[in-house]
Amino acid sequence: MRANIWRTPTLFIAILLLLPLILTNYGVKLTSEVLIMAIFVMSLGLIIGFAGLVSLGHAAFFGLGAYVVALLGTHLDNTYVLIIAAAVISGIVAFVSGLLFIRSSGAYFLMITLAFGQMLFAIFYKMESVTGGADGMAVSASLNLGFGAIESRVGFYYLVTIAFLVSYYLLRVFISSPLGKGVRGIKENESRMTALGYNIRHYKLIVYSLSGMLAGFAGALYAYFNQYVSPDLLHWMFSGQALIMVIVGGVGTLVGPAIGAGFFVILQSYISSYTDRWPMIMGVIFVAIVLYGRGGILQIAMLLWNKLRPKRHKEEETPILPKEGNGFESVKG
Amino acid sequence: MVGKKRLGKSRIWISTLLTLVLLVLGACSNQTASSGEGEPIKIGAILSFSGNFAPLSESIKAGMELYFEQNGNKIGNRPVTVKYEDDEANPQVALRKYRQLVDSEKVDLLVGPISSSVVYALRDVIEKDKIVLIVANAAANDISWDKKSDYIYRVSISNWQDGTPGAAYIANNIGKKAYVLAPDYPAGHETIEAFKAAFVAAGGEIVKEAWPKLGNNDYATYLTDIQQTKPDLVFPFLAGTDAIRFVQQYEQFGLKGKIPLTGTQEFLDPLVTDPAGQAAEGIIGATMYTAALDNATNKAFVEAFTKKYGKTPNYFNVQGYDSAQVIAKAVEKAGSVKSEDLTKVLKDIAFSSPRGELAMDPMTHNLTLDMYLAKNVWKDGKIVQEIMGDAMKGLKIPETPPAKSK
Amino acid sequence: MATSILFMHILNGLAYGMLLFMIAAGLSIIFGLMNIVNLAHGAFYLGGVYIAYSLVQQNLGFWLAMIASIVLVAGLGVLMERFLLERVYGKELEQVLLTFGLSFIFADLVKWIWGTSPLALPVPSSLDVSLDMGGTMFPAYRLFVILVGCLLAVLLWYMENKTRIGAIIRAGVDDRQMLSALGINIKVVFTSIFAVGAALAGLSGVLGGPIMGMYVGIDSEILVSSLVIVVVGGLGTWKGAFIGAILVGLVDTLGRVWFPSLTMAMVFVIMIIVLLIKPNGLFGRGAHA
Repeated sequence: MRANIWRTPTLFIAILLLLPLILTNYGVKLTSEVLIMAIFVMSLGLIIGFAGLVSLGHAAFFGLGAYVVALLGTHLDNTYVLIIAAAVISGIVAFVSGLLFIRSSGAYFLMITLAFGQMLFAIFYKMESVTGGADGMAVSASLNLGFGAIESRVGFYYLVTIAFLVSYYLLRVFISSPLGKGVRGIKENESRMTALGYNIRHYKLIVYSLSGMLAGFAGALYAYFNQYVSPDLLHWMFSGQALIMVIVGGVGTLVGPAIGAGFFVILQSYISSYTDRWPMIMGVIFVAIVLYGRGGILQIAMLLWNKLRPKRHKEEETPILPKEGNGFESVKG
Repeated sequence: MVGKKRLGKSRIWISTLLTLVLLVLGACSNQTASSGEGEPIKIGAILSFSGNFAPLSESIKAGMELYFEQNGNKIGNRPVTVKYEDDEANPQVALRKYRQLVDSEKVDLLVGPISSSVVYALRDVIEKDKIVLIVANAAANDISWDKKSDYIYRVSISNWQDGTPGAAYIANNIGKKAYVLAPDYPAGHETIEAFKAAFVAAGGEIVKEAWPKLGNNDYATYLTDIQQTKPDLVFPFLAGTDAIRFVQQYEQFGLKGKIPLTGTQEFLDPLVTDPAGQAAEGIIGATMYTAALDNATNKAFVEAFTKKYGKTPNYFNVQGYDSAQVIAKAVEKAGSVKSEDLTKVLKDIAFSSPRGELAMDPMTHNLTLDMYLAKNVWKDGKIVQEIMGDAMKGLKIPETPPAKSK
Repeated sequence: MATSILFMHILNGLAYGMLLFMIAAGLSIIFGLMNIVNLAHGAFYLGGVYIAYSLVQQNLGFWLAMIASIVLVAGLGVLMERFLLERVYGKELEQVLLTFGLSFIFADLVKWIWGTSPLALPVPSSLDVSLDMGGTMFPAYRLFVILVGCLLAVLLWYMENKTRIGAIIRAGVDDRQMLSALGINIKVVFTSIFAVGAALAGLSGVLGGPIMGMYVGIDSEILVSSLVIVVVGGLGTWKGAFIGAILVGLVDTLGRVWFPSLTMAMVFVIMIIVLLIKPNGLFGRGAHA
């Protein structure tokens, strides 16, 4: 059993460390982005899978972390301080909001987190003189851990990889701690745990705050990654995407959400660059995962592959501006 | 959830595998660098094909495609390929698409974006990578001012140029007391700010400002408020479906014909006036383009466009057409696709647009535009735009931000 | 502010609220009875307005187009429930993924079929007049919408409280197991309720088209508004949806007048306040999920 628990992470570490050797510049960048998303989605997976709290406003903490780096970064350019500040502020906001919200459950919790997220979104959207409003703002802080600014793609990649692995490890430790076990007990049988004298709300609150912190941490990294923040980072649509990533990857595990993040981000950027019909294809994939997920995701992949192949060839091999107007009409349906 | 846990493992493995395969595939494809004779010129277009900006993006794409098709899909003797990407009007997605186009597809230059947030987000990476971006729509003023870049040139219009030109005519001929309305976001603020400055300078007065949220679902509140405020005229800045609903509800609330409706060029464009129908009749404003413009380039353009797409071109079509045209002219003149050569040519590039003879203003990297006064008239069961005269000739965006009026 | 203007604003809020009520009513009952979070509910609005648009273009006339469109949307609802949702009863997260996926598919389908150019559904010509109400003009069409909304509310109230179907639904919301124990064909009940919910959303699409517009993207905006209404009112009651919708409609409309800088967050603020005071919404009968 113990060997099983560790086999997956070891393999992952090996793959992660070796990836830059085979990937192009773009691949390295994309993988860095996936890893940051993975941290964020893991934080959401933590509250869904281990505390049964389904949130539709988790992007608020991610965006908050990113904005902390962007806003504080204009005054003080210290990576350690900024990242810690992002995590702590997001954690505090999660704690305070959790204090109020955690007594709601199920759909009510889903909606109240959505509302809270949209309020934060509105705040950053409206504070145009400070945040640039809908236009967003550039991040002026530079990434420097004390030994020179990290500007190379590979350097950033390894930094994010370490951040991901450490986050993963800490979450692992948390889950197997007595505290974590208590939380899982609640998820499985809330009334039993109450009867045993556990204060459920406290446990949930701790997990929720921790999750908010981690999301803020991921957001801070993302601010450094893109050097640009905008209110889209807090919008409920982004929360919804993260929720999808958790479910696609598998609820109740730590790796699942991370894989879900990779699957979603990479697949979407792929499909959307081959066809304008990407929302439909993504939709079909989600439906298929629900309906046939049990038969294995591979089946779905085959289906998708067949769908995509002819399109790919068409777009790659004919110049995009053909002579007789074939395949060149704007996609109007 | 029990079943899920049991199957979790195989699912994780398969999806990991799949993810990795995709990643490696993506990394390996499209690695040909382009240079030299006969090699295709690769253009990356970052537009917003999903979301509310989709019609704008499709229009720009249609305009670009028309130009390249008319020119045999070639610039000089090199074939042209355009790779269109969807940024979902989200800067974070746009940056991902940018990296894909620049790092992986190795495009020679970029066209885009619709949204101002995207152009700001791209601006710093463009400076770093030194790749030319032809702005086909995003109207943020600051891209001509503080955020001006050697590599970014706008062939569409700035918010300042959209808000300014109609103001003097409106103040002098329609009324002095204006009710202004625009979405509560930077483009709305910039456009109304420009209108206000010019309107007040012409002796007008803003009696009320209304700021609905972007994508406001019902204008009833504002229309009721307009009835109460009783201004001489209403000047809105809205786009797409927002503009259509505003115009239709303006009529439903009995305001059409009672309080004159003016507006930015969005209200004088078939994209809005076709679906809005007769409700749009009588709107007056300044615009940089209507299909009725009397010049040789426009006549040929309208004819070719109508033949290919079966409808009247809108000004986004022209922005797309001119983006393609400017790229072609610049590459031909510079004799290369290298950014350092292109930027020398682009600074003051002149070309024949359906909008008239246009030239880039080297100080702002923004076009010097002729603005026309136009009016929506109902003719043969359809709204068409009628030119009433010149609003402003040779309108340039100022070189520095004008002092804010209050 | 003059009383007559305030009255106008209230009418505006009511008209908007009634449209929201039509969408939220179905969502709420589906939520309460079947415990399904249908994130694809906005697609029924889209379906309603776009199908009606096409039929109006075919010169079918607004009212016929409306009826045909509602029937088609209800049919779509039946198919969705029978072939897809039925498989995920009781699995909440799978429902989220499935209905999210469906909303992607439907929205893109609409783009595919009708293109991206903006379209507009005109107000039916018989109601395209504005009435002079003490010096201010008000569109007759909006009064009609308010009327339809009120009639529907009465009808649904009657059904819920005075008919056998209503009794079944109430029983089902409180205890789903009980239904099957009573020997009621639960499948038929679920499918028909789902169809009614879809039809109502379709109706709001047709009636709301001329007011709120038709474009891909409005489906998710409307979904969020109606989810807000559903939780504010409390899951599973027509009454909750009705009061919640009026509250949201008025708050949103009057908020634009009195707190113009808060328009983006107004509704969410109200929702959080309600839920902090009553965690199960105004008329909620206790948590299910």
